[in-house]
Amino acid sequence: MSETNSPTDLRYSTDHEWVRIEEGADGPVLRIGITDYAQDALGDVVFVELPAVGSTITSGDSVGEVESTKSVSDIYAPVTGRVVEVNEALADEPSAINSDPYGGGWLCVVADFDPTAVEALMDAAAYTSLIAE
Amino acid sequence: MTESAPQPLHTTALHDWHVDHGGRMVDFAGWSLPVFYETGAIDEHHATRRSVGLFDIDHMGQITVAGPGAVDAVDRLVTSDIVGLQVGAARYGLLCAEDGGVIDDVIVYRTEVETYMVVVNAANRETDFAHITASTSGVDVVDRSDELAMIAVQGPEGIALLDACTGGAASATERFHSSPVALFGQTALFGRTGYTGEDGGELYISGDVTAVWTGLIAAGADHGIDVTAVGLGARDSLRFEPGYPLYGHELSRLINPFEARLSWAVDLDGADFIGRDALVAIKEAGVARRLETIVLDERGVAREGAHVLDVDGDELGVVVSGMFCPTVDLFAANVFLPRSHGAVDTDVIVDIRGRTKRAHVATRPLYRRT
Repeated sequence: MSETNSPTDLRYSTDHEWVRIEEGADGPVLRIGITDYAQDALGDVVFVELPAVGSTITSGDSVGEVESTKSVSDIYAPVTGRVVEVNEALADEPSAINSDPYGGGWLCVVADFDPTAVEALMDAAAYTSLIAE
Repeated sequence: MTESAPQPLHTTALHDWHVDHGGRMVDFAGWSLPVFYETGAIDEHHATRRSVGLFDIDHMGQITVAGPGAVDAVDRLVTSDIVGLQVGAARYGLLCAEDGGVIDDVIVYRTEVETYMVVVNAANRETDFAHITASTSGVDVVDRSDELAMIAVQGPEGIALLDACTGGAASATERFHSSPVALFGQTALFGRTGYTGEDGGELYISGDVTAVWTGLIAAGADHGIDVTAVGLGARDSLRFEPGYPLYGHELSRLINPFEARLSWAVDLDGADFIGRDALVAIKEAGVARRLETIVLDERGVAREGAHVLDVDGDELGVVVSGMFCPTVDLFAANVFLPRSHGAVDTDVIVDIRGRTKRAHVATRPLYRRT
């Protein structure tokens, strides 16, 4: 396994997703993606099935899929909330998940989430320990 | 992401090289092999079509059949014409059961007048050896898989690379023929064969396989030829695009050669072989289903097990292989379809874990070398 990167300004789920709280037009929103570790393990991503804009996602439920040259993996909602935006650019360029997992490879943006649920996720140090196991 | 295995996996002589070079090791037919390396399967696929891919295929088996009577013995085992195979030549064929089901698909090399080398799939090695032993008498049947390593060198620059390392022996060998070669202090049998749809060859090596592998990479650098190690992921997409079957997917004991579109590898005009009577009857009756390649009209990966439906939602078949195909830039899948739904451009639906995608029957193969 090559060296992978887990930025300190993000929170992480045990399902290898990252979240970042951002300021939306109508209050805080949560941007969600998969981690560098996850994309490295999956290999080349060739297709992403994203949740529908407007849909409600429930923490722990499968809300989409990442298809790589190796396998298909579920995307699990790290928190409960409402999807307000998905990364349409991934349709034409799914490889952004590999090349820029914390930037252009983001998956979706969620509103109406519980900030304490975000606090309950791992910080970078805890996630780094998890993937070192 | 690493598959666990109840028993220790077989490792190839190149195992440490793969791990040292970022190979993601997975269990394939009981062997620990790289699914891809650092740059990923899509890069490896393109590198093979553009220049040269190197494949560690030591897991494949080699069974020799030798002695007076070897010609007739092998001809009785294999569906294709073996009697007409010249010394030094190689031919694709099938080992069939009496009912016409496929036990394995093989490449047969006639290495000497009365010696044949049958190259078999890793998963079928024991089955094939038992079948060959039980179906022959008076010949020496030897499983040489443990003593022979196998490397495939595939791609448009593959012959030039091998020529540079063998004093021109590769280009002097015709397609589907073999020559003894010496390279990097080792002796090997070079067969101008492969399973990617590209020119190139396969090396059978009894000595230091790592010396040959690393030597080929170094020779590529010396001669300005880009040489890329290729894992199982790209190996699968490289064989899928030109329409080559993979045993356990497009071929099995429950699939006959006509369903798998391999009538060209079945010689019903020559001498008898195991399964011939059944295959004559199957051919006369006609097959009810046949292997088709479907291309998805929407993005998605229709993997093995996905159900294929007609436009009314009635089941037609189940995907046996499916993937993203990098060279043709298509999501495609292989499925056995009723003849009624096998015409090119027939619309079908694929159910991918509850999500339905539109697809159509495509012209095979998706890729042919120009």
